[in-house]
Amino acid sequence: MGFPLELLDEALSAKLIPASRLEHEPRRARLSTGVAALDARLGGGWPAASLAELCGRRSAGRTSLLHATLAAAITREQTVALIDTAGAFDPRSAQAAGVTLNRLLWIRLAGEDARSNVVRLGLQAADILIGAGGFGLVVLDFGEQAPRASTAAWLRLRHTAERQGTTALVVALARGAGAAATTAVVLRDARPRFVAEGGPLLAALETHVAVERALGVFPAPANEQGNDVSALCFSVQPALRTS
Amino acid sequence: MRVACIHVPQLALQAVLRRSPQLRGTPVALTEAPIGRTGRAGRAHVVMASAEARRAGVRVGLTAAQAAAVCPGLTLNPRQAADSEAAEAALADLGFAFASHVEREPGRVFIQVDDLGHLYPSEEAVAQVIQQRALRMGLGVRVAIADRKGTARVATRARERVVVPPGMDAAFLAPLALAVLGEPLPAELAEAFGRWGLARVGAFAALPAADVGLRLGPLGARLHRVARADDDEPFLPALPPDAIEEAMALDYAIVEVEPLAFVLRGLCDRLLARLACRSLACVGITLRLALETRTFDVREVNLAAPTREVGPLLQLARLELSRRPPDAGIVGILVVARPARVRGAQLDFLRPAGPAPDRLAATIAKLAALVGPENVGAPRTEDTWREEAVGVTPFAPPGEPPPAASPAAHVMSMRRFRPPEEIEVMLGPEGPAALRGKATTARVTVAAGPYRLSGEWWRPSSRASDHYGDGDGHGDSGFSRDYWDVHASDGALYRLHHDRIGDRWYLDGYYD
Repeated sequence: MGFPLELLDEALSAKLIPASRLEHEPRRARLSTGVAALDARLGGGWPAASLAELCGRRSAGRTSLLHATLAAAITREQTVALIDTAGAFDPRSAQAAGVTLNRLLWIRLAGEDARSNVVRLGLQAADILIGAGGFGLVVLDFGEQAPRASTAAWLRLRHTAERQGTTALVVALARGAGAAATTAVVLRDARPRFVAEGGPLLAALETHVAVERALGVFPAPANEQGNDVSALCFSVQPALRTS
Repeated sequence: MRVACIHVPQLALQAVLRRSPQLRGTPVALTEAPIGRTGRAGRAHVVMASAEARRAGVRVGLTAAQAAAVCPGLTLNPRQAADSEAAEAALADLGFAFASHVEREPGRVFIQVDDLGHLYPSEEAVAQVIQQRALRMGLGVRVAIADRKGTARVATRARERVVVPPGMDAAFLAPLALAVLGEPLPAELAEAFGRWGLARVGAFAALPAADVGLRLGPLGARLHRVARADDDEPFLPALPPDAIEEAMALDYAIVEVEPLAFVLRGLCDRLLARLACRSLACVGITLRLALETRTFDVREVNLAAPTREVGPLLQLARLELSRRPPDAGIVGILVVARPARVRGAQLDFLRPAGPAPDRLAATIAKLAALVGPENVGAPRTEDTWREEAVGVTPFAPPGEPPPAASPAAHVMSMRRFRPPEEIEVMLGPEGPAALRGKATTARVTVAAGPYRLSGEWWRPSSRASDHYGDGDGHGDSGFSRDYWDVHASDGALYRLHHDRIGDRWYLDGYYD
């Protein structure tokens, strides 16, 4: 006696969902980087409620991009905080980049004790800030350090950010969060541009951005496979040259 | 008018239990040493004992040694005015948690409860909630609600919790023993009642008022009016006290911060509970520490915004004390809270919700405890031409939306070395040709400059090293500098300057 296939289909149809009916992951909200070209590459900007990394060597353009991000977040009325582990934040250039200073919570790690425990203190401060809730963007700036922390520490930071809806942006010399970061942007091959006006005059910083990791962006940026980078240019604010 | 009387039996003892909650459920007695004719304290006698102590045989009047012999596990505490005052104040705050007008008398408060019917289903529920609230504040209270103050006062002596129905005051009082009319009943009145064969309030109330007044005097006449439930004692509310404070006298001097923080936690806990009764939060505390040297050390601990969490308050107090420890051992602590209303946050459907003000204050306090209060806040540019100058102001984002950003070109920013790093520079015909610092050695490929900057000439010149001594750019003297933007062979784009006064070179930072 043959098994009635109709019954089997009926039983399976309640348990299985055909691939054609699978729903896509809901689109994640984005926080603008302040640079339209990069926003386009990242599907709208830094992913909200997640951990992202911004890396690069000295004079690669990280701080300019960071200030653009801070300015964009403040313009969108987000509450933003900057944990400055090196005490390198320059309010004048941040102001020139459009950052409203009285809307930025600045935490600097000063003193010998703080300098010797930069990573631990930085992560602790980030945990306090993000855990409080209500912050749209919390930046953890390690400056010229490549932060060494356990995977558990990074995952904890990411989960706290996801829970509170905060974008945690880690700025460092090199990537450290690994798979815990949903987005990683690396700046490299920066070159200054001088113009001749009687003598050389600094005009701009031209840099190249590579999106090394971008989860949830469809289609994935081409340079996630390492084969494409795009150029960015940050110009000098005349007021900065002579204060 | 419906009046609630909230009474704390054995207030002095409860004050001790409120200060030391770990003693609850154990035998505890309060002692007092009478001052003799010579002005010296005599032997300490028990003046109050907990139920556990009384069960073990401790009685009022025993000497401390006798009480300890009767009950070996007994905790003896000297009676302290500070404890009782704090408990009295806490009782008043309990009253203010339920009514705007509170009348105080030793050991009890009266409040009007007519309007509470809108908030609670019944007067029984009101009485129950008052008792629960008091328990959270560390006080066990008796509550009575009646038409008259006198009835409510007497009822708290008879029952733990009672609601006398409207118009039934006399009927409620009638079966009670006469002893509840006083606290205690004066001896001459008790003797007269015994002589007349009276045992119940109802029998006393049935006597003719004029004859009672003639024989027992004004006090007897007043008690007779209470017994008949026709006393006309007015309700006399008082304003709430401005200062909310908690104090503690220590048995032994404390010299270290950690044990002091332990004591402070209890005090702050109780302060915040009292503030919460009045729907207030704390924006700072004043610590008045009594030292062994018979002097006082006063500290201020300020918060950026009102909070109801004890953690940040305690962390800041601990930070303040560890930064500048008191000169001598501490023998007494007075904590005065600065009350403030919590700002209501108006949420906007179209704008992102920021952190709640009290949560933000708590967060800033935690961060201040972690990295130091001078390192947390909003950055501020100083009114000076010194590029490196920076200040920090308390973080209080304004309510109005930020100005719309202009779609300007992307601006190049800088990272600074604080303080600027002193370097050696080799000069060429076009300016700096090479530089060498602690972590930087490079040839200069392009040098743009110099950009001369000088100022603050009115300040006296001093050594160049003083210019950056404090790292915040506030040098003591004038400055005159030649700035250069240089592209170095290590790929970095540095900003450096030549200090023309001290003839030294400094690396300010790099463009990034």
